[in-house]
Amino acid sequence: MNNELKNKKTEIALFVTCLVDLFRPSVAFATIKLLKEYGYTVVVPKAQSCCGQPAYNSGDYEGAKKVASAVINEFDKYKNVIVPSGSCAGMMAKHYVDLFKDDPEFSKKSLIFSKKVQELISFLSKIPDRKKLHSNFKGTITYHDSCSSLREAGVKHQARELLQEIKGLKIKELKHTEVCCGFGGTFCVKYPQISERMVSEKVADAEASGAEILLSGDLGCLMNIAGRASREGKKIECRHVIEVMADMTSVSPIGKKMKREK
Amino acid sequence: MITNRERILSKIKSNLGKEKDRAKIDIDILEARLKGSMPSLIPKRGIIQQDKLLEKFESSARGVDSSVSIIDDLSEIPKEVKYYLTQNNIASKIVVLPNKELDSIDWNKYPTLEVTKKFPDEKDETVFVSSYVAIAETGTIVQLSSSENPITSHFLPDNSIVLVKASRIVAAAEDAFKVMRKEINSIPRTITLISGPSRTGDIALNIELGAHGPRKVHLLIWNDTK
Amino acid sequence: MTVNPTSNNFKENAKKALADDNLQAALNNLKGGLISKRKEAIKRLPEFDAISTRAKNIKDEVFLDLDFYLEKFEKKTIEYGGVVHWAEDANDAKNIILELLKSINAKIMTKGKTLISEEIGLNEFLEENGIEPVETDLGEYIVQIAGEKPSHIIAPALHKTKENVADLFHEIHSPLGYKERQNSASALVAEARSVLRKRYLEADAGLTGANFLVAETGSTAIVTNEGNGDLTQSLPKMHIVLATIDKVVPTLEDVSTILRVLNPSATGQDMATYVTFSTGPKRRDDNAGPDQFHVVILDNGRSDLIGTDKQDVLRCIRCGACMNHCPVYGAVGGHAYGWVYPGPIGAALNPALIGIEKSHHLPNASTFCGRCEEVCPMQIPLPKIMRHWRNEEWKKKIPKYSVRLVLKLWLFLVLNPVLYRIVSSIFVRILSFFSPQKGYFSNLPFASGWTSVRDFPAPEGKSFLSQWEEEHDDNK
Repeated sequence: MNNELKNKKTEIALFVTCLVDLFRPSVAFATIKLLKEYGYTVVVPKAQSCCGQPAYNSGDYEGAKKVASAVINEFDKYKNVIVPSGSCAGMMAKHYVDLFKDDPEFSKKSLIFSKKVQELISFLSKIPDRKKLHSNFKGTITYHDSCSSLREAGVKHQARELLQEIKGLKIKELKHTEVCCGFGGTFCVKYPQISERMVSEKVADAEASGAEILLSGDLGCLMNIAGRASREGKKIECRHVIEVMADMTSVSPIGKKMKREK
Repeated sequence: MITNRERILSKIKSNLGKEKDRAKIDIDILEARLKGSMPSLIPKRGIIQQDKLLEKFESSARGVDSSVSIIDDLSEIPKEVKYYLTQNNIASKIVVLPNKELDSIDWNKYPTLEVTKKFPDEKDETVFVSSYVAIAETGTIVQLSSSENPITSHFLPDNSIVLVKASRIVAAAEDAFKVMRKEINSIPRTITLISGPSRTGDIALNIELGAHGPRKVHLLIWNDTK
Repeated sequence: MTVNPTSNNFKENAKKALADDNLQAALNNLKGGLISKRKEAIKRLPEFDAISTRAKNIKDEVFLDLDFYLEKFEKKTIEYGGVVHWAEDANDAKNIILELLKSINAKIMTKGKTLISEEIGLNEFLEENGIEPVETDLGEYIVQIAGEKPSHIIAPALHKTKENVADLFHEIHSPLGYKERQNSASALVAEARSVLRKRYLEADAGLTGANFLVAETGSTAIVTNEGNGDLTQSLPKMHIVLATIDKVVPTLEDVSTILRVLNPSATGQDMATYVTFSTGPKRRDDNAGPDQFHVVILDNGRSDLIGTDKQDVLRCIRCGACMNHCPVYGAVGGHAYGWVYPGPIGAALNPALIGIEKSHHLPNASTFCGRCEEVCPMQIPLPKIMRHWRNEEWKKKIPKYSVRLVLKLWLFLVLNPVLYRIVSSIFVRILSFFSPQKGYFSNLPFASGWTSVRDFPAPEGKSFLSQWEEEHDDNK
């Protein structure tokens, strides 16, 4: 992390991700709130939609390249691109480079771009001289490591360390923190029975942990786990970790509706 | 007629873009590689000081379920063998490989220990053999097949009692190969690295000792370095 | 012809596997044992990562001059009196082996564990030709007498519980005089040992696979724990080794390097019980060992991968770590994959060997969670290779028309941000409008794959971008 980030005026471009945009705007608002509190200027480039993973993981490399080049062109002018998802960040920071390996124009561009992209939690943990999180949140949580946060963005201890700064928060770990929840993008709809088995085990693990809330850094996992917990009639609530970090938990948990809402 | 061999090799070459013959320098590099130009990457646990070899070998060997006893003199062997057999409820009857090294042992002191000098077959319960070298890192004994040491000797009987000379314990497998290259001109039919009794995990992943090879391996380490 | 794959029935196979309580009980063993043993073994070897990189480099280096190393191996094997046979495909290999067996009038052939013989369907072929193949690896033996196929590459009978094995042995061994049904694992192992001892001694020939072909010495090497491979290759008068082109390494020391990562990854051992290098037939004055030593080097489609973006898959040393850690394998077991190599390695390798048309489910049935790549001692980028196969599949238009259409539409929208914003905000508004009070949908007609097994969380309200736009009309 460069010193430049100490500069209050440092500009950060937010890549919202399509799932957050459509299903959980609170994640984006929470991200902006916290980044602003840390003194950054947050911009939301207009021409953004998706990082291109659906095409890439379906094997449509040409389609994925089109989306990727659009993303790069739109975000290229910014020095820091923050993504509240390990999976989308991994796509943009790692897989774009693979995708454009032999592309005369974008091989270099994607490489430069890859250095600018950061997964949100990883970014937060690296802010120099950062003052501690002061969320008023109270409760017992468990943290689900999304596979791409864990293996592509290298986020594991960072999330826990940040969460531990919140006074009223207690962490209870899952037994199998390294095991996938069964989301896997199109996997969960192409192979629903296998996905069901995987997500049921995750829900059971979460329940056994004794936590009231499951947090994670990827909305894909969260919608999957919340959806399954709901189907099984389980009480556990699911939220994006940034909602807790930014003290924005007044919104209903994912897939639930709280009474007191307007 | 184009043979399978030519077809496979030419497909590989064309996929590698190496249709043309290699330059002499490239061949020299490859030949040097085969002669050991690449230094081995041996982990710390396989780099062991001379005076620690015996200790490390013993603990590694126990770690792979071999039993171990240490003797200072060859003359102790019959007593140790007899003791081991009694302790483990094994019939007091062994087959000793007829070779120069083991011939010097005087078994007559223990008349109750029945000793037959021959190559064992599937009917023999316990065999007494010696090892070529032993590897401290992994508790492994190395056997080279030869006219005096048929490889089946190590697999047919239920119990193997193996004489290991402390002076022949090396640190890592790489060191064992080094000794072999120095001492032997022509590679034997089999080089066998044996680490403990045979075992299987094929029934519900439970490890059971005594699959097809020996059920028990007892190592008699002769501390000949004293 | 290779063994007929049923990989295209993956979905049905998986469904059956998930409903099979016995299989699920057997798979449960995996979660404790092999995973934690591997972890412990790696803790004992702090240099694991560095050695793994070295091991990877050894294979990469060999592939760059694969023809050279294979020829070297051949030359050395011949020097020591062995014979090398080259087989381009499964049929070649089977015919070569049959001819060898016929030449000594063999009736019984014992076998060490070889996955390649499964790949080429050797057992069925030999049986058709009047030769009895006898599997001697306990897991392979169990699977053989049950009339099944292996479900795991290092633990072939992983799908069977101890009770299953007890029943099976009781049924098959009773006529051989083993009347009592054994209950303990140790008694079952002892019974198999006793039954198989006879077979080793009766066999006319023994066939093993090879974990390594050593170019320097012309040796083939096997890594085992049971000792079955050693009896298989030492007792009969002919030893046949069946190995593929990717198994060659330069020197004995290279074998040692790879073993240091193979054994921990496979069984959590520092060293397998037996590592045996075999070079040529028995020497003139040897008292044991085969009179003839034959090595059958099989290609079967592997050379097509050399120099391609899928070459990395050939580094595989068959440790099984990828499947042990794979959540999909853990849920459905090995048989669901419908061909010899299950789990992530199968998803990456099978399409190369049997064609993507016959195996397209395999690289798709992955969440790309990446745990396989993380535990692979040869650092094979398994998800990446699976994705490459999805790319091949896409290019060949194998995915259903409806799937491709949806993706095309999505692409069109995503590439037109203004349109995307309008359409997505309408989509969200409609969903929100119909959003029940509960905050989720239990059934969505256009997302039945999702809602068949889980609820669909309703959107919060308006999309983020439309809210942001309202708040920031000035375009920043």
